[in-house]
Amino acid sequence: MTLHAAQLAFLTLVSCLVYHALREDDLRHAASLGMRRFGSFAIIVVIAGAALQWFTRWL
Amino acid sequence: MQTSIPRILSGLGLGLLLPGLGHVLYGRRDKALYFGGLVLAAFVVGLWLGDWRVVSGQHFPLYLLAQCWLGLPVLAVLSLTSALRITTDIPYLDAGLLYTCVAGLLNLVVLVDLYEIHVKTAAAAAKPAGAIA
Repeated sequence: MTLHAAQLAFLTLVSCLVYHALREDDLRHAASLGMRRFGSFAIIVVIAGAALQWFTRWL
Repeated sequence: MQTSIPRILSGLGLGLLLPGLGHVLYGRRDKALYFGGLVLAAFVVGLWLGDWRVVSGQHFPLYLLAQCWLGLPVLAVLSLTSALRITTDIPYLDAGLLYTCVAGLLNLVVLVDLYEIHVKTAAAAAKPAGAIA
C-alpha cells in the first residue's frame, strides 16, 4: 500500500515538475510551482482517501 | 551559427538520443539537466520496479513503442538486459512498465519544448535590432 502510494506520488511529482517547466522559462520558479501543485494534489488525495475510507467503513 | 532548419533538426536528433541533450544546443543547460534528470529518474525507477526486465522487445513489444523515444538509454538497457528472463512473478511489473513508458513519452514532450525554444529564438533573430514590438 505504501509503495503503491509512493509510486503514484513520484509519477505525479515528475509530471508536475515537467508541466511547469514547459510553461516557465525560469526553472526555479517552475520547480517551486511544480512542488506546490504536487502538494495540493497530495493534500486532496489524502483527504479524499481518508473520507472514502471512512465512508466505506460506515457503509 | 547554423541556419534554422538544420539547427532544429540536429537539436531534435540530439534530444532523441539523450533526454535534454537538444536543449544544450540552444544554450539551455539548466533545462537540459532539469528535463534529462527528471525523465531519466522516472526511467530508472521504472526499471528498478520492473526488476530490470521491463524493456524487452521479446516480452513487451508494444510497450517498447513508447519506451523507444528515450533513445540511447533504451538501447543500452536492451543490450544489457536482453539475457535476463522472467522466471518468477515480478510484483511491480505493471508499475515498471508504466514508469518507463511515461519516461519515453515525456521525452517527446521535452522535444516539443525544444521546438518552442527554437521558434522563440528564430523569431528574436528575425526581428531587426531596435524594432518596436
